[in-house]
Amino acid sequence: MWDDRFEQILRPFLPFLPPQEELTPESDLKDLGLDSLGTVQLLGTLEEDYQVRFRDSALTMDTFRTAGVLWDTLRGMLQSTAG
Amino acid sequence: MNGQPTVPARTDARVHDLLDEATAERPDAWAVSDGTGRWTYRELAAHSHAVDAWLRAAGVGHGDRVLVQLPSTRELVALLYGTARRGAVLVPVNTGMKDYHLRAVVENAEPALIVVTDPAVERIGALAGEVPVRGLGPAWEEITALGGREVRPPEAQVDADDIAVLVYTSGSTAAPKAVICPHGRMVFATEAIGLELGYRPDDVVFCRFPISWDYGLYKVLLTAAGRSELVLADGESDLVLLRRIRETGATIVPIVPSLATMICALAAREPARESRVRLFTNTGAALPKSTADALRAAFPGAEVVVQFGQTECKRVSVLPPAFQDAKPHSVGRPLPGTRAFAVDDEGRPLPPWQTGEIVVEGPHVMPGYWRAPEQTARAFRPAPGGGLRLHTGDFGHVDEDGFLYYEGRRDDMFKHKGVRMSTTEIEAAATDVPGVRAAAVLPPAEDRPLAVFAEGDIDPHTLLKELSLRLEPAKVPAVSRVVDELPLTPHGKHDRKALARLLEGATA
Repeated sequence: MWDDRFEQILRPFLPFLPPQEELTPESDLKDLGLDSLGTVQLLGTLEEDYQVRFRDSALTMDTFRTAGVLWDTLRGMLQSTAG
Repeated sequence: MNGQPTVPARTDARVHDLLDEATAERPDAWAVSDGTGRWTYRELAAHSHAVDAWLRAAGVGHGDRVLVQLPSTRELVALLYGTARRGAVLVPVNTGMKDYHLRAVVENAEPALIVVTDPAVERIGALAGEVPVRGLGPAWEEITALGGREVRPPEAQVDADDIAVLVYTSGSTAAPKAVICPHGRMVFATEAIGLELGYRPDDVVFCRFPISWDYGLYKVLLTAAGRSELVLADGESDLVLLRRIRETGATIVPIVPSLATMICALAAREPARESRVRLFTNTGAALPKSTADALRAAFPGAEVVVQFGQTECKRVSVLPPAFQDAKPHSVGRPLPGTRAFAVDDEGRPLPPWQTGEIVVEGPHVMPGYWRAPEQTARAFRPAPGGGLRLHTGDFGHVDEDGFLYYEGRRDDMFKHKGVRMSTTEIEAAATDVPGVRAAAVLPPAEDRPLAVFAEGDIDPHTLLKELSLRLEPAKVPAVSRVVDELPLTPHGKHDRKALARLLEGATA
């Protein structure tokens, strides 16, 4: 699925998710408490930590809708940086 | 009075006069844009006449309430002005308002008509009883058809004292209550603010706030008074905020501290660039100096204006940029043509630097709360010199030049993410959650988030999720703790100091 670091970064932005509960790719981030400010801060944290830059076309609420979509977007960027 | 030489704001104009005057002066200037297009003043005025005709056909008359729960689009602006023309009362409610509160609002406002988004018609219909509920889609088709035929009903008799809008806001009780906003007072407040902020015809005002909130609502009126253009950006993704501010050529950006933080976080991702923004206007809570500095760095040449107020009089004070260095901690001077000062418990004005309750007098003080005589009598009292004196519940003092300094609240009200709320309403929502026996809420402080404490059989994260189903997003606490017993003071009230210690102990 995703690396541990991704989940470590993501969880603090999801106040409605109990620590013992699993985060799944289908988990709706907004339902778990990710708000506007959290989204913007999450974006900055991911970019800094993974040394990537989200393209303007990826800056939509859809990208941040679920953990799975967000990870796929991020992985896509990581692969293109690596290749 | 603050002694500024100005053309005074009017007290006898109606809300739609602002639109009609802008249209007469600059018919082909851009009035309003949203994510899907924009209208000139001429177009907006024509749509507002069509709304008037449509409301008349629907049997909406003078003083009838029209409740709308709609995103902030051009259509909503037309509904605002059209309802004003009709002499009816617009009741805009936040799209984030949950059924839990909406039911209470419908009961209190007793609307003659409700307009919502098409998918919401059935749900709202179920809680609205006999009140007709219309979807904006079909309604707007009828409105544009009327507009196409240039149907204009005879002009309704509307006076400055007639109510234009009911603004629902959090009160110190569990249920929302509405501030009565008559035409004349809204226009006065608009023009008085305009004198301080100086909106101009070449201004583009970027409004990230919903029209259901008075902060957004008055942007509509302020742009008309300034003959400026309004950009409605409430529905857009905040991830593109910065790009949209630049693309739209925004010159004025109203903010609250959390929005400013977002803009700064986005700006930190890219190098500083030239920008057209000349003014950030802040309200809702004090803007940390670091945030204000970051804004100025990201938008070279922009000023940050501090403002202070509450819906009950719209705005108390504005601190023009020229005074920021001399009075960095002030929340500004009273609007031109109004007074604001601190009083003691007997209502006697206090000398400079002495702390008391801040009271406000002037033509911007609204007449009271809708159908809430007791709360009205407490907050809106007769002024010794005639008119009304608004007791704000805010504590502070003035300096020798009459500038205001805010120190805090005396009740359980506070602001979070720019939104006014009370511990009472969040506690009421929490005790509505199955499994919760009792709940206490701790307002946010400098190093402490908004927190809820509950007694009962419930998981703390589930409690937050349940609260998010009952409250609009800004009112949902960030932290939740379930305790065996809520600490009480000897008087039987929630012991907030003990709660704060609980939080420190738990996070340490």
